[in-house]
Amino acid sequence: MKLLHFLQLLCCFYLATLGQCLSNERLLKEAKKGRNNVIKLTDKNYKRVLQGARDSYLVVFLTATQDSIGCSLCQAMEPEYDILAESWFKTHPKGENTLKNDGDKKGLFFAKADFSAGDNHEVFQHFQAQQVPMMVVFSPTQDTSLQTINTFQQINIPAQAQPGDPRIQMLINSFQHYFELENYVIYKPVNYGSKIVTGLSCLASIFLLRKFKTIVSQIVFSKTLWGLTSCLFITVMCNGYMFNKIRKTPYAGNGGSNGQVQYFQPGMQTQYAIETQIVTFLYGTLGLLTLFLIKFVPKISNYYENKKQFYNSALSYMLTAGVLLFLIFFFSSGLMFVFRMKYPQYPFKLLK
Amino acid sequence: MVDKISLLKTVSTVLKVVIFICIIGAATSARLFSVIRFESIIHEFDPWFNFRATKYLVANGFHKFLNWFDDRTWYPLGRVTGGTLYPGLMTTSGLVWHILNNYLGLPIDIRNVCVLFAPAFSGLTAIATYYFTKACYHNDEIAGFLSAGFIAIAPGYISRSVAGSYDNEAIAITLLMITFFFWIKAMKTGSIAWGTFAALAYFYMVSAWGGYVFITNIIPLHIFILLLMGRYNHKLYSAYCTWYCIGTLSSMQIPFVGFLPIRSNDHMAALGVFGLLQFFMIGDYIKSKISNDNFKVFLKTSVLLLILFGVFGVVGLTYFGLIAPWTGRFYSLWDTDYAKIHIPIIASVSEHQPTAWPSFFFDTQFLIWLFPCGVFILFSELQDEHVFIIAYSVLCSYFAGVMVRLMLTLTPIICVSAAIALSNVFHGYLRVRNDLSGQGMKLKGFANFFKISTKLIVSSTFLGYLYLFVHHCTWVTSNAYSSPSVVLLSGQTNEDGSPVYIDDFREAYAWLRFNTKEDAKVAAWWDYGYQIGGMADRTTLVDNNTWNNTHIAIVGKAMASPEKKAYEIYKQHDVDYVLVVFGGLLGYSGDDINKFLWMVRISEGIWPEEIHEPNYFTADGQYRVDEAASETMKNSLMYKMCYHDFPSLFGNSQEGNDRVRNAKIKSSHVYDLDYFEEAFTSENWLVRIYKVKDLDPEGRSWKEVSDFEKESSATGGNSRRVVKKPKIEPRLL
Repeated sequence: MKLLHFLQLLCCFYLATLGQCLSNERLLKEAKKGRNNVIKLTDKNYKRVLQGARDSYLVVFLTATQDSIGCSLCQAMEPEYDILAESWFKTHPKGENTLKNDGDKKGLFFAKADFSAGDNHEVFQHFQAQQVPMMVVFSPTQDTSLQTINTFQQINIPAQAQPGDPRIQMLINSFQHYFELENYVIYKPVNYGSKIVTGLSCLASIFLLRKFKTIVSQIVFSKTLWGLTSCLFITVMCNGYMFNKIRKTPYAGNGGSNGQVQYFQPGMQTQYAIETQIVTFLYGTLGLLTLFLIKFVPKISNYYENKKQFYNSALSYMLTAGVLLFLIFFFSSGLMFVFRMKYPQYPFKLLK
Repeated sequence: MVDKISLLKTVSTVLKVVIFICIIGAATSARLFSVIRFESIIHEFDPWFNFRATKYLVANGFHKFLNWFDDRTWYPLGRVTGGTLYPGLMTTSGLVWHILNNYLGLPIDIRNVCVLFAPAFSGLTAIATYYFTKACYHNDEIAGFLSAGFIAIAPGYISRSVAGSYDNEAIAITLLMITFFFWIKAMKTGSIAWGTFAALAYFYMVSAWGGYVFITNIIPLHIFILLLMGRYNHKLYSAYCTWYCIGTLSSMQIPFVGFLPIRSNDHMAALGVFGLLQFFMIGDYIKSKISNDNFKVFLKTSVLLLILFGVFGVVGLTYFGLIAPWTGRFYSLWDTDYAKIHIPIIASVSEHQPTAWPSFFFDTQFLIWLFPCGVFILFSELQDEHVFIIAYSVLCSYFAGVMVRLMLTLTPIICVSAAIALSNVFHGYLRVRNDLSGQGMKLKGFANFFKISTKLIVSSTFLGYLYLFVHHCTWVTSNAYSSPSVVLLSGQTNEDGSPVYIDDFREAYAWLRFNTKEDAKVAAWWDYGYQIGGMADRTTLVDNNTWNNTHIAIVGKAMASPEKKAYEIYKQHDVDYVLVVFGGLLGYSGDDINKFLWMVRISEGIWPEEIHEPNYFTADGQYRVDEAASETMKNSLMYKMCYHDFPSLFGNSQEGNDRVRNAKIKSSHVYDLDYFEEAFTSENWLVRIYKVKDLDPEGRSWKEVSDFEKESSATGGNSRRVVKKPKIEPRLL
C-alpha cells in the first residue's frame, strides 16, 4: 500500500518536473495555436493540456461534425462554439478575467475535439463520451497530480434552446454565472464584404429607380398591386405565419414508422410550417374564385350581350358560374377535410 | 302611387325591425349555453374581480368606488383598485341594475345582471356593426344585415362574450364598433357633431378596456394613409381635430389613464397626425394664396425642417423622460421575442401566445376566405372610408397572428369584409326580378331560363354555406366556449342522465370561506387570486392584476424553494394557508405542476442566484415528475404539496398514476411535509389547501420536530400516525 502511494507520488513529481502542468500563459500559447483561440485536443496533447495545476477554467467540447455520423446538433453548434471562444478572447485577449484586480485572476480557455477515429479516439474514450455533443469543464486547481485529468464536471448543453445567438447567450450566461466572469458579451466579426455589396446594390437600385421613374410610379400607384399585396398579407397572417416565426416550427413532420412525410400535425394549437402554405393556397383560391364569380362572370355575359349573341351570353354565364361554383365547393370541402385532420371531432363535411 | 311607396317603406321598416329583433335574439340565445347547462355563474378568472368590484360599487356608491383601496389583495401592499381599473364595465352594469331595481321595479340580483351583461351587449354590437358596414359601403343594406348577423354569432366574438364571461371585452367590442361608426360618419360628413359623438364613444371605450389604444392608433393611421394618398380635405380636418381634442381630454379623466395620452408613445401617433393635419391645413391655405413655383420651394423647406424637428423632438423628449417608453405589452407585439426574454409574466399568459391557423377557421369558418376577397373588392373602389377597413384589416390580421387574444378585435372586420364580399355575390345573383319582368327581358326563351337558373343555383349555394356557418357557430359555441372553467363537466352522467359536475373549485373556496379566520391570508399562484377574492373572500398575496412582478415572483419562489425556505418566506408574509391546484387525479391539464415552470422562470428573473430553471429538469433536459425528476424538483414545495399522500390513494399503496403527465408516482420519492399540514383536499383532489404551521412552541424548527417524532415512533412510541381532520362546521356570519 505504501509502495503504491510512493509510486504515485513519484510519478506526479516526475510529471511536474517535466513542466507538464500548464499555467495561464501555457494555455494561452496552446490556444493561439488553434483556430479561433480554441485548443484542439488530440491523442497526443490531451493529457498535457488537461492535467496539472491551473488558474483557469477549461471548457472542453466534444463533438462530431462529420456528415457520416449525422449529428445535426453538433453541426449546428460548431460555429456557435467558435463564437463563444471568439467573444471571450475579444474582450480578454489573455484569457484572464480582467476586471477582478484582487490578484485572483481566474481565466477561461476553450478546447475542442471533433471526432475522427485515428486522431483523437483516446480523448473520447477518456471522457467516456456516450453521446455527442458533450461539454465538460475543468475547474482551477492547485493539485498537480495526474488525478486532475479525471476531475471534471459535465455542463448541460441547452439543446432545446433556439439555435444561434439565443443558445450562445444561454451558455454565456451560465458561464458568467458559474465562473464569475465579467464583461463577456457576444462578439461577431463584421463581414465587410456583405456591407460593400449592400451599399453597391443600394446605389444601383437608386440609379435604376431614377431611370425608370414612370414605370416605378405606375407600380407604386397601382391599385391592383396594392390590393393583391395586402390581400396576400392578410391571408398569410390569418394562417399562422407569425406562429411559425415565433415558435420556429419545423417545416413538416415525420410520419413515424413508415417514414412518410407528415403534412399536418393534429391539434388546434400546433402546426407545421407547410400547413400555412397549404391553407394559404386554399384560402387564396377560394377568395379568388369568389372574386371571379362577382366580377368576371357578369362581364363575360355582358360582352356577348353587347354583340347581341344572347344565347352565347347565357350559356357562358351558366358555364363559368357553374365551374366556379363547383371549384368553390370542391376547395371549401377540401378546407373542411384539412380542418378535420387537425380536429377530428369536427362534425361538418361537404365531400367525402 | 304615393301610397304604394309609403306602404313599401312601412313594410321595409317593419321588416328591418323584425330582422333586428331576430338578430338580437340569435346573438343572445347563442350565448346562453353555459347558463342552461350549468347555472347563472361568473366564469373564469378576471370576471370574478369585475363581479366583486361591481358588488362593491352597488353597495358603496360611485365615489367610494373610485377611491376604493383594497387591502384584501396583494397583501401586505394592497391595491389602489379605484385608480387602477377601467370602470366602464362596472359602472354600466351598476347603472343597469340601478334602473332595473329602482325605476322599473324589477328586483334582479346584481349577479344576474353581470352574467347576462355580455349577451345583451352583443345584440347592441350587431346593430352597431350594421350601421358601421352601411356607412362604410354605399349604404348597402344586404352587407349591413349580413355583417350584423355574422358578428352576432361568430365564435371569435362569442368566445369572449358568453353569459357569465363578465369581462371588459364584453362591452368593449360594442363600443369599438360604435366609435368606428361615428368616426366613419364624422369623416364622411366633416360634421363636428359626429366627431363629438365619436369622441364620446371613444371616452366610453377608454373607460372600459385597455385595448382602446387600438382605436387611438387606427384612426390616425387612417388619416395618415389618406394624407399620403393626397386626399386631404376640410372634412377630414374638422372630423379628426374634433375627435382628437375632445377624445384625448375626456380620456384623461379616467384615473387609470391619467396623463398617458400625452406621455406614452402608444398615443404619440395620434398627436403626430394631429400636428400633421395642422400643417396640411396651413399648407392648403398658403397654396391658395401664392403661386405654384413659390409653393414648391415653401413645401420642400418646410418638410425638411419638420422631419428634423420631429425626430429630434421625439428622441429628446424620450431621453429626458418626459414621454414614457413603449409599454411592454404593446412592444411585445412588434418584436415577437421581446416578451419571451424580458417579461416572462406576459409570455406565461396563454392569451398572449401566437395563433395557429386552425383557430382562425374555428372562430370564423368560411368568413375567413371571404375576408381577403372583400378587402380586394374595397380596393377596386377605394373611397376614403374603404381605406379605413383596409387599414384595419391589414393591421389587425398581423396582431391577431401574434396574440390569440387579439382575434377578438379582428373578428368584427372579418365579418364586415366577408359581408361586403357576400353582398356583392347576392347583388349579382339574387336579383332575378329584372330578368323576369318585361323591361329587362332582353334574352329570350332558353337563354333567359339559363340565366335565371344559374342565378338561383349560385345564390342557393351561398345560402347553403350560410346555413352551414350557423351550424358551425352553434356547434363551436356549445362545445368550446361555453364552459365556465369554475365548474367542469366530467363527461359522465348520473343514473338519471344528468351530467356529473366537477365542482372542486367552489368546494374548496367555500371551505376557505367557512372554516378559516376572516383575515386569513391565502397564498396561491396568481391565476387563482381573483377567484379566491371573489368566492372565498379571503386575503390573497397576488392576483390576476399582475401589477407587481416582484410580489408574484415571491410566491413563485416560495413554491419553487425547498420547504424550509418556503416556510420562512410565507411566515414573513403572514400567510396562513397555501392553495395549490392539482389535476393529476382528474387529468386536468391546466394545473399548477404544468404552470410550475413559469413560477420558476418568473422568480429566476428576480433571484437568478437562487433559482435556476435547469435544476428543475432531469439531466437530459426533460420535465419529469416521476422517479426521474431532479432532486430540486422533488424538494420543491409545489411538488411536495401536489403529490403529498398521492401514491397511497390508489389500490397499490406505493404507486400512484398522474393522469396529466402520465407518470408513475411512488411514495419513495414523495418526501414528507414538515412545515405544512394538509388542511383540505377537494373531492377530486383538484384543489389542495395546506395550513402553514405556527412556530413550534419549543422553538425548534419543524424539521427537527418531525425527525424527533419519527424517531420516537420508531422506538415504540405511538406508531399510528394521527391525521388531524379539520372539523367542518358552518360559521355563523
